[in-house]
Amino acid sequence: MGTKVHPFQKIASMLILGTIVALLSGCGAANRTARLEDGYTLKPGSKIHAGNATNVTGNAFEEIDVEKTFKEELDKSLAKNGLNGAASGDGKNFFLPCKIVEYEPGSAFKRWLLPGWGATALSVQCDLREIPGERTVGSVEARRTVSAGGGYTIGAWKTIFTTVAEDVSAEIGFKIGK
Amino acid sequence: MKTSGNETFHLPWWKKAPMLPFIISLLVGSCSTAWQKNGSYYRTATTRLCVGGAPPGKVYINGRYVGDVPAMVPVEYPQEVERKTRKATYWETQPGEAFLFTIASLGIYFPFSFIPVDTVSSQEPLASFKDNRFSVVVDAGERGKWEKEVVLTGEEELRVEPAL
Repeated sequence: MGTKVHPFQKIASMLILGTIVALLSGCGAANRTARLEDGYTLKPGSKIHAGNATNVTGNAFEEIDVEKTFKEELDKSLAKNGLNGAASGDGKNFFLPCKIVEYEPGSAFKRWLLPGWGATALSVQCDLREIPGERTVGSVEARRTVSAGGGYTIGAWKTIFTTVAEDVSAEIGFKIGK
Repeated sequence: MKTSGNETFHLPWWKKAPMLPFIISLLVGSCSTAWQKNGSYYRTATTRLCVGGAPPGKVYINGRYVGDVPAMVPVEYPQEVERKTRKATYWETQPGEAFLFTIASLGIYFPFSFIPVDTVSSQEPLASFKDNRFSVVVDAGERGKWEKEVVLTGEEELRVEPAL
């Protein structure tokens, strides 16, 4: 025999649970796109080498070397997805220089106070270039924001580099062999 | 309740409810700020340069041999992209989460949710290019040389027909 629960209580508890999950995971938006030249395909076995990242935001950041951090994270994530190394089979080698077009370190305290305030944001644009020749055959764009979540998003100013690098390599990985 | 004498006109709250989306959209719209320019950067633009027609010959672009007529060569040059940002409310950027926070906070968040604190960014390619002049030379041997300077402005493809 169980106690009868009012439907409103059920809905309220679901919404509160949803909010807690959202807060724990850190809310925000994610966009990523990859474009290849018309008719161009990335053959299976193609490998990508992270090029230098360039800060074109027009701002300097004292707390973090954005160029070095992004390149390191991109290297790690390409290796994790098996996209690093020497090309095999029909695949070719590619070089992926990136531009950091937007970076906002944000503030976890502000996000906790008012969602949307103090959002952390990172946006990159990368060119996919053939080796040798350095001909640009495509581009990848990725943007992430962490706009709510309070204390659970304290390190977002740094972890966002990992997330965006993973978005870039996942998007390229998705194009290989398609 | 309606009274005709003093022109007092009261609607029960549930009859006012249809106006709620209109009021919310008005608040959301009025809280947004205008787009502001936030610098620019250059990205790579590519145009397929097609050199066709007769007679056969060697094609050079900026002094570099790229193939024989007919040739299709992708050429790259920097295009300026303008960054713009504006402030927006959380209802505009994350409406689902704004709703969730309103409910979970039992409405306390609702009035504060119309403060435009979130940032929306946009990147607009401009009709501004650098190093976009290319010299196209077709060397047809005994039949002579044909030369033309082309200025590329973000076209997908540009065809040139040498006349020798």
